[in-house]
Amino acid sequence: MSVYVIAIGGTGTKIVEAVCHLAAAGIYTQGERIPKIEILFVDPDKGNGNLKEADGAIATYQNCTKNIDQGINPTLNWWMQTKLEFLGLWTPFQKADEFRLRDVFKYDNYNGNREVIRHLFDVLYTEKERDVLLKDGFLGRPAIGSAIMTQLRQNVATNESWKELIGKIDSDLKTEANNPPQVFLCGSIFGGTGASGFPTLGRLIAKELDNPETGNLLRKVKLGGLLMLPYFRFPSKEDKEAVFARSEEFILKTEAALRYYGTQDLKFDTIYLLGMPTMTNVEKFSKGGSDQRNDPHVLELYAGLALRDFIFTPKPNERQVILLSRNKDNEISWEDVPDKDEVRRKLTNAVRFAYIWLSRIVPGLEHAKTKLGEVDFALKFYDRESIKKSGEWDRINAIKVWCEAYLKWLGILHANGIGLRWFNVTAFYNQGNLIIDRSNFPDLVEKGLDKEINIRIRDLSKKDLQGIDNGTTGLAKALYKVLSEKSI
Amino acid sequence: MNEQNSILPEITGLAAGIIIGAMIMVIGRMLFGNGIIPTYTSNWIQSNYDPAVLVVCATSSAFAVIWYLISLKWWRTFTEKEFSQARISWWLLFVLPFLSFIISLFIWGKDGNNNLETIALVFFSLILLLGMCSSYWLSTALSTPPNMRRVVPLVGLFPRFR
Repeated sequence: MSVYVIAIGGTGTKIVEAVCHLAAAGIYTQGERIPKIEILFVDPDKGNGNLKEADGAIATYQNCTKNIDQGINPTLNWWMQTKLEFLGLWTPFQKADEFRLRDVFKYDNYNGNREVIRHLFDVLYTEKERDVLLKDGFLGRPAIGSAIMTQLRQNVATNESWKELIGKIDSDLKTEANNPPQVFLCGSIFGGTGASGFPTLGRLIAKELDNPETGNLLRKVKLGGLLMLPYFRFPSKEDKEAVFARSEEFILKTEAALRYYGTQDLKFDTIYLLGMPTMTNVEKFSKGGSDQRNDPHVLELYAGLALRDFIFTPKPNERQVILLSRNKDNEISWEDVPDKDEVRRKLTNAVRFAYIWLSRIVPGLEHAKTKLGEVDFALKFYDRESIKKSGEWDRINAIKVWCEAYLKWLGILHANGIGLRWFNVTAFYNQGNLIIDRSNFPDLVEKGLDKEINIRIRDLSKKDLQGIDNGTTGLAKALYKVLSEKSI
Repeated sequence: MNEQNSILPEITGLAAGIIIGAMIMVIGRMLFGNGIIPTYTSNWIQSNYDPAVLVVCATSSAFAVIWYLISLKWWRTFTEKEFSQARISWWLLFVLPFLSFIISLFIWGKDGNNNLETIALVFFSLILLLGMCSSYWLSTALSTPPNMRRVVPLVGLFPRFR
């Protein structure tokens, strides 16, 4: 089963970053069902810092998953098993020299009899909006974004990314009739690209899938989307005339957008809306580009959980409204998580794994390179030749990079003042830095909850492992198996 | 495997090593007692053999127990960086059992006013040495927690521990 995630704009890319970490923990699996997630980014801002982070998260995850082959055993076949494929980045700007609204719509060509069109354009957009360069995004102006995005409707027959997407969906339907593909769009309701792209692309996809020429696929394909309400704000620039996003306008834009969506039928099977009563402060203003790099936010994690719900909930026959809220105003605990037992177990096992890998396994393997006989756990999975092979060390380091990224992501989520209370973050994260000290392991999940690392890893063995059971792959699987046998 | 379950095999190993050491001493006593290994003095076993094996057995067993208690506390936080330190500790604890072997041989390796016959001396030394090795080395090899087991020299001789 394939799930196509179309991540629109900067918020879409932040959600994908969360999706990568959740996928690693095995969140997107249910029993034997392990869908493949294919990700397409939609963003005019190719150099966006958030996009680069998401790209990095996908690459880190893919580098790690290729080393964990068939899963661990039939009861634990979901850790690092979800395949994430990157379909690419689609930018609505088809031509490299057309980054202004006036260029895309050939404003300067409306002369003579067609001057009235130019006048209409002048009514809809200010001179600054017509002339501003949009290669760093739509600057928080959905009106600009919508105009650019609608060009896709005219160009869809020749747009390679979209042809590939529809082709893949069609192919999936033929090969897996019992597990039809799903399409999930995500973005913000208050930004530029997300606010403009979500309805436009949603309609476009629904129209493509509902086309008799393509076999009326919409009946079979589950289509859903997630809209993030404003959840962060940033200081605004003094220049009131300049064209850029202003966070003080987010609520107003959101209200207008929600009224609009209330009147539209997007033909989505499910729509998720996520928001927070208080917005997080982003300290630095950025117009776009590589500077636009926000810290991860717990709402993006919930967006990832919404994707999980979307994947495993059957196509609904009728519209439903389901609400989610938290128990306390200033805190987000495990009680506030949907499917809390499974989500908690998987995220916690991944945290324990990451911490042990960084604080005990990697230092131990470094020692074992020259003194294998002194490292008990290494002797079970390596011999004197294999411990020195560069291929093994590529795997060890790939897993190490993932572990650091995962712990850092969780650390930032806990540290950004939302009141997340899932782990004892002081045991592994402080002011932007990871703390890797094996003596902190007992306090990782909750103070004093766990025993020392050596107690956890003394039972490492190849027994009952599925597929490769030696080397780094075997060690990683054995470690995860041992941790999952004594969860929470 | 919970902690109680993991201690049981270790304590069993410790006991096994000590018991095997004791049994070696008992078998040796039988060999001397039946005259298979001759001695001049009729009460040589009671006056020389018994105190010697008692001293060696008791010293070796006691230090094996000390090593086990140290490793029992240490293994929870043990890392490979401490391997050399742990091995030195093991050897330091071995000093006294070894000294007890040497001293016992020196004090009780006689036969009245004479020296023991060569064959008797060889067997006596062998019994004391084997008894010491079993009571100390074998006990520590079988009882040391798995992640520290390799600290005990030559533990790789056991196929199970390779």
